[in-house]
Parts: sequence; C-alpha cells; structure tokens
Amino acid sequence: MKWFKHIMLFINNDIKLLLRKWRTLPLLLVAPVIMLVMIAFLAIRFIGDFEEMDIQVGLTNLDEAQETTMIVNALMETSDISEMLTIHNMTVEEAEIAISSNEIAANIIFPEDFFADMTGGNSSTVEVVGNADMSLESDIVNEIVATVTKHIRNSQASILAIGYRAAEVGVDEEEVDEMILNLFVEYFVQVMSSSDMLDENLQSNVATNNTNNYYILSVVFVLLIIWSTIISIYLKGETHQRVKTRMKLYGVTELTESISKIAVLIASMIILAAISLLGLYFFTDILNLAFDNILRVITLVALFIIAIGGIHILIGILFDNVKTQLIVKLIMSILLIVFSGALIPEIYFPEYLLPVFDYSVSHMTVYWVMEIVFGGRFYMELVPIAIAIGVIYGLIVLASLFKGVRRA
Amino acid sequence: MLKVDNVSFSYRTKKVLDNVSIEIEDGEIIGLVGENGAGKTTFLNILATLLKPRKGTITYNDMKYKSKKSAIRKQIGYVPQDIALWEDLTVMENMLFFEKLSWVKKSEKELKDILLDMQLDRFDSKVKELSGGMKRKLNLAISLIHDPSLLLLDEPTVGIDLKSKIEINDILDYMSEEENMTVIYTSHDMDEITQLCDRTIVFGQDPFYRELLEREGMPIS
Amino acid sequence: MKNMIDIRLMLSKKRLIGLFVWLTVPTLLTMGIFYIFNDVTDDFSVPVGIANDSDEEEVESIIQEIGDNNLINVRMIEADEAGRLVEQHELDSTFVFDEQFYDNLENLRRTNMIESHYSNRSLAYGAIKESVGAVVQERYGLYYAKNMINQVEEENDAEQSDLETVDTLINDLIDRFNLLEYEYSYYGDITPVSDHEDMNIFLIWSIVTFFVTLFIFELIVSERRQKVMQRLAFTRYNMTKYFLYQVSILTILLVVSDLIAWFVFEFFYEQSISILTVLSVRLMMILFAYVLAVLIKNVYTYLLVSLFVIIAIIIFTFVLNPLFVTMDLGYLNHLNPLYQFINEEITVYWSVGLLVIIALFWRVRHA
Repeated sequence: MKWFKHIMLFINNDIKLLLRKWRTLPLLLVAPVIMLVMIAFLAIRFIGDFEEMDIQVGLTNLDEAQETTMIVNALMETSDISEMLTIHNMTVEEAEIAISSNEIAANIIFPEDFFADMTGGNSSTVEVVGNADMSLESDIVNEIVATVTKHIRNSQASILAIGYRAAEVGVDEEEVDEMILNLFVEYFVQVMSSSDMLDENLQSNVATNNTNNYYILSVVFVLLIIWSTIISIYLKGETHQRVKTRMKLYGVTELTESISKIAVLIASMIILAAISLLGLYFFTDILNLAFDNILRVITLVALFIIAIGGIHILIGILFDNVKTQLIVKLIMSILLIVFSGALIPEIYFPEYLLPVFDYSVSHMTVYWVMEIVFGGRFYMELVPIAIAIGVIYGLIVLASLFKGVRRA
Repeated sequence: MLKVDNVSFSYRTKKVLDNVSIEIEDGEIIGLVGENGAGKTTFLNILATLLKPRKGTITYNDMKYKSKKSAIRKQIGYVPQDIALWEDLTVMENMLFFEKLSWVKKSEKELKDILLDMQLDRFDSKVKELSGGMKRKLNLAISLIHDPSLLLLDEPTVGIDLKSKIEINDILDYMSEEENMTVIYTSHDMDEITQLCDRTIVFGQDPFYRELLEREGMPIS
Repeated sequence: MKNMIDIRLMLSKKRLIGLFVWLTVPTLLTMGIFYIFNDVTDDFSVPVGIANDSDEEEVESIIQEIGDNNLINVRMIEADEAGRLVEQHELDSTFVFDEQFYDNLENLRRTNMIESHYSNRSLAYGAIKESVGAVVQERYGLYYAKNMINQVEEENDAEQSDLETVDTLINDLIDRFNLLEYEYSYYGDITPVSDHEDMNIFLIWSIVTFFVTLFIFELIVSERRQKVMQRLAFTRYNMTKYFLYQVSILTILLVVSDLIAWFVFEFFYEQSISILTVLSVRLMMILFAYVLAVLIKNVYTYLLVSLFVIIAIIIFTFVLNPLFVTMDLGYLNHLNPLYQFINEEITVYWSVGLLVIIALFWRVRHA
C-alpha cells in the first residue's frame, strides 16, 4: 500500500514538473509537426514545380549538314524532351550570354561534321554546357541528353553494321547514306518511345488509391516516436543525490520512480495519440473502418506507446550520464523511425537488414495498422509486440532493482 | 582603514541597507549580526566588491571602491558561505589551482604551511572525503593564499564541530593580532561573536540582538 | 597560459579519456556514417518481380541482364501473381515476359511486348521501367538490325546473315570505330558537383564536428555554475578571462582534431577542401558554442538546445537548402551556419554575426 502511495506521489510530482513547463513543452511538441508539414508542403510544391517544369535550353547545331538538322528536329520532338524542355536555337556566343544572364539552364551543342563523323565511325562529341546558377535544371538537362546520347551510341553500332553490310552487298553509296539517315531517325524514335513496349497496368488498392493517406498515417507514427522522445527528455528531472538518500529513508526505490515516470510518459502519449487519431478521424477518411478494426488500431497504437515509452525509461535507467542518455535516446528514435517501415518500406532494405524488422517494436505495430487500414485485414498479430513489451519491462524491473541495490 | 560612508542598497523595491556608515581600523575583528534577511551578507558582498551600493562611498586604505576595484580586490580574502571547492580534487590540488590563478606566487611548501596552520594535514585526500570542519578550513585557507589584508567571511563556522570552530576562531584571532589583518564576518553564534569580536554591527529592526549584545557588554556600532 | 593549461589538466584529469574520445569522435563517426551512406545505401535495392513464360534462352539472357543492374533485386514470380504482389506491395513493380514475347521480338512487333504492373506506391517504377526498357530495346535493336540486313541481302541476292553474325559484326564495329561521346560542364570552367557516387565526406564531418563542439562546450556551462567560480573575482583572472583561456585551450585541441580529420579524408578518401575553409568553419563553431554557453546557464537546457540546433542544421542541409534553391529563395540558405562551408567557401557571415553578438554582450556587461 505504501508502495502504491509512493508511486502516486511521484506521478503527481512528475505531472507538476511537466505542467510547470507549460510554456516550452507545447512549443516543442508542435515544432516537429510544423517541421514535417513544412517539409511535406515544400516537397509537394517542389514535385508540383518539377512536373510543370519548363526548362529553357539552348541548342547550337554546328553541323551544316541537313541530316543533322533532321535528326536534331526528330530528337527534339520526342515526348520526353518536348514535355520538359523548351528549345531555342542559338549560336555558341548567344548561348554564353544567355547562360550568364540565367535565361537558359544549359546549351546543347552538336559539333561540326556530327553526322558525317557518326556515320563514318569518327570521333564525335555532343556537349552540354550547364549553368552553375541553375544547377538543378542544368543537371536535369544533363540527365536527359546523357540518356539520349547513350541510346544513340547503342544504336550507332547497329546502324553502322547495316550500312557496312549494305555496302558489302553492293548497294551504292548514295543509297547507303540515305538508308543510314533514315535508320538513325527510326532508331531515335524507337528509343525515345520505349514505353510503347510496355503494357502498363496500374494496380490499385485502398493504400495506393490514397497515397496521401498512407503518408499521413506514416507521419503520425513518426510524430508519436518524436513526441515520446521529447516528453521523456523533459521528464528527466535532476534529482540530487541527497534528495534520493532522503527518499530511501522513506522506502522509495529506483523502481518506484521508474514506474511513475512510465505512467506519466504513457499517459501523456495517450493524450497526444488520442488527439492525433481524432484528427485523423475528423479530417481524413483513414479511420473510416469497421468498429472492431478501429478497436484494433487503438489497441496497436496503445501497445506502440507502451513499448516505446518503456524503451525511453529503460535508457534513462541504464545511462546516468545526461549526455550519453540524450545521444542514446536520439539514436534509438532514429532507429525506431527508420526500422518502422513507415518512411521507407521494408521491401527496399538490403536483405541483411531485414531481420532487424523482426525485432523492431515500431514495425510490429505500424505494419499491422497499415494492413488493417489499407489492406482490409480483420486480424492482427499481437504475440511479437507482447513479447517485446514483456522483455522491455522485465529489463526495467531488473535494472531498477540492480541500481537500487548498488546505491544502497 | 576601511571607511563606509552612507551606503544604501536595495533589491528592486526592497531596501536592504539604509545609510550605513562605519570606520574600521586595521586589525579589528568585526562581527555582523542580525536576523535572516537583514542585510548582513549583502553588506559583506558590497565590502567584497561583488555588489555595487546604490548610494554612498567606501574607501579602503585611501583607495576608492568605485575607481580602484581591481587593486582593492587584491587585498581582499573572501570566504563564501558555500563550500567553494573542487570536490573531485585533493586538498593540495585545490590550493595549487588557486595559487596558479593568484597574483602572489607561493611554493608548495608555503601552501602546505598555510594548511598546517589550520591543523589540516590531509593533503592528498579528495575534498569530498573530508568532514565539514576540514572543508571549512580549506575554504578559509584558499582565501589566504594571496596574503590579503582584509578578510571577509560569511558564516565561516556554520554546521561544523566545536573543535574545528575553535581552531578557526583561533586562526582569525591570530591573523588579526599578529598580521594586523582586518576581519569582518557574519555569524549567528553569539558566543563566538562575544569571544572573538572587537565590535559588532547589528542589522535589522529586531531589538533582540542588540539587547543580547548589550547584556554581554559587547560594543555595538 | 601555462597556468591555464595546468589548470585544465588538473580539472580534466578524470575526464582525459572522455576528452580523447570526444576529439577522435568527429573523424571516426564521420567515417562510420560515410560508410553507411555509401556502402549500406548502395545495398538498398528495388524488389522487382519478373515472370518468364517463355522457354527461350534469349529471354533468360534478357532477364539476367536486367538483374545485373545493382538497383534492381529480381525475384522470379508466376505471371498470375504479378498484379497481386504489387497490389499488396510485396514488390515495387512486376514485369511479365509472356509466351509470345520471343516471337514478337523476332518479328519486330514492339508494341506492348511486356506486361508491367505498378502502383502509386511504387517508389522506383520510373527508373526501373527505363532500365528494363533500355535492355529490351537494345536487344530489339539487334533483331531490327538483323532484319534490315536480311532485307538488304535479299534485295541484292546476297547470303542471309544469322543473328550471331550480325551481333559479331556490331561488336566488331564497336571495337573498331569511335562511337559518339558526351561531355558535360558548367559555363565558366566550373566543375559540376560529382554524380552522387560518393557523398561529400566533409559535409558529414562538419555536422558531426559541430555536434561534438557543442557537447564539449557543455563543460564551460557546468563549470560556470560551480560555486567555486565565485572565487575568480579575487584572482588575476575574472570569469570572462578565465573562460576565454579555457576556450582557447579547447580550440587548440579541436583544431588538432580538425587537422587529423582533414589529413585522413584528403589521403584516404581522396576528398579535398582547403585548410583555410576548415579553419574558418572551426572558428564559427567555437563562436557559436561560446555564445550558447554564455546565454544558457542550465546544463541540461544547454544540451537540449544544442541537440535542437544540430537537428535544425541537418534539416536545413538535406531538405531545405536544395528546396530553397529551386524556389528562388536561395538567400534563406544562409540561415544554415554550415552553408558556406558546404559550398567550400570561407565561413564569414555567421562568424561576423556571432562576433557582433559577443561584442554586444561585453558592452552590455561593462555598461
């Protein structure tokens, strides 16, 4: 009974400590939300900008051959290029001025005798001169032109082989040249519309139809991990050794303090999780589920909170040094986020890292929540997370007892 | 000679010292008494140049506090109420630490002599292993490294055993008589005050201290 | 100064090992993170399912070539599970080479040769599609070339070449002739940033060492709080002077640590940066840590603020800086204290700003 009274006393104390920080704690809890929203907003804008991007590019054709003009025109009309780039014909000097004044992101230069060299198997170099001030757009142009050139190289040998064999069997030179020109154009059209080869099928399920919802739910789990770290850091009061000695005289143990901290941490996290889930319920259709599935989600979130709360308290017990504790908590939070599968799905990880997911408490819960919400499952596996919680809390008890004995 | 002329000090709106004036000769031992919060420590900190009075002037050996603070500090030994020591260093290491920061160079033997004068010979013991009395002695010893002529002590014997108390008082008495050091300290121990001090200054409104000292025949300023 | 060094040694006696660890941590931790970023992230791959309903060796060879791409982790599947596996997101995307595939390839029927499945959660479908398309297109090109050659041979009553002959001819020509080359540079002879093959190790180092600097300076904050510090008023050194000396000693140690790092990265990782640039960012970090240590009296608060600063810098460096550039908000990049260093410039703006703040402190204190 006395033991229980002590726990309630400490809980009361910890709540008071938390509430005393009413000015800074809410700020710290809201900060990650703002940060993630900002990143998401900027990323969406960026991707939006990217898709609507219209990069201004110069084109200098130094080869007077008609054939080169035809090839260049054919290339420029291919869908990949025409979608993203707006081409302006200009001289090298005009291009240099345009780059300096940031009017164009890059200039593509087809060299003199380009066609003759290509068909004759002589050395020829397509050049892209980029704009360092518009490095992102410039690099995109680089990627596109490099890909095109790679395709040209691949085709070039085939075309030369056809021309070579044609000449060998007696086709006259003019005809061979015309054939080669047409082949170049033909090949380029082929390579640039390689997606014609694919019969593409877009698979859809609830998650894929609502990619935004999927990412919103992922972000909620990331936030819960971040919030648990912030609150556990705030709960770490500085209890002086002399105060601890006094408390020992009243029969207070290390375990008592640990239990009260766990209770306060979990209670705070439950409040935050409840707010998040209510937010999801009212502002999105993520929790538009059958009632028993909603219960399952709540259960999983609760177990998630119990597990990560326990991990933070365990770290607090194991490491006395403040700096070490902070660093370990930070690393643990990063690992919990990375190995939850919320941000980067498990399937993309290297094989040797996959076993880590089996021991990741965040993955154990996130996976089943995703399956229930997006996979239409009516089932969840609780044994792994229950075992994990058992281990964590068992370690807390052991570590507290050991520390108490050592201090006695 | 220490001359205090109409010194006043307030913490925000609370007036703590009001027109305090006193002259203290070299070699005197002055006790500062009064109830808690009466201004004793504040006055001591002003004399130690740690606080600036709102009004009034103080001079020590014809040096004005306002303009010669650095020079005056060289002559002051200040013993704070808190045990101001490095707990993880030994007795000797603490002495060496402050000797290196001091204006006056002292050899290790000279430092040991100061400690031995205090009956403190556990040179290699860590401060955290010492008793309260020994810590207080070391607290005092460090303040004497640079041979001050004015020693200011804030409750130097609080919470220590009787023997150590007597030893410290004997040292202060010796400093005052043989070295002509001016000693000013605060205390709540009336026996100590009446036995050691030449005069006392009473702070605060409570007549209790005044009446007590008058009964003992102690001169009050 | 000798006295100050002796004092620092006396106080650090118990913490010498810790101090040594902290000084080597920037180099070692940077190497560790660099290894993770370069080697481990290279092992991340996209799981792609491929179904092969054709018995042809040619098709197996195409699938083999697709699997040679390090980005792709090929898993052989059955055609009827291709859609389901993507839907359940067990695979990023799937490709089916049906029984007709070889026949279509031989007869140059390229439209819808391969069935592909993807979803909105397929993170890498674009790149995978491109990669698969390139392999198949190259093979198709060979068959196309054979077809054209056979046509020409037929028109001119010449012997028909088989696929192997055409392939040999093509390879022969590749060896004999110079094929088209490609060059990319920035105008004004500026070398473009390298192709993300190796991450910039100095970038990682700057963040790690900033973190270590802030954490080392915690000892300034904790020493200031000690009751023993009130004695400084009665010594040769006031609080400011004492801590300036201590900061100088820490700076020397940190500069040594920086030079070790510079040497290791220059000679073992072949990534270089000017020493002046390194020293300028070191100065900025010292000033930053000093300002923080003076402003914040509580040790725990100091550590939390330091952590927050590092997290903010990481977000700026990896997320916000690139975004600001594309959104024409480039000037906001200078909010990141490491921005100039990352761009291999001397760190000036933040250092000047911090010196101004310090000067203001001193003025206010002495006023």
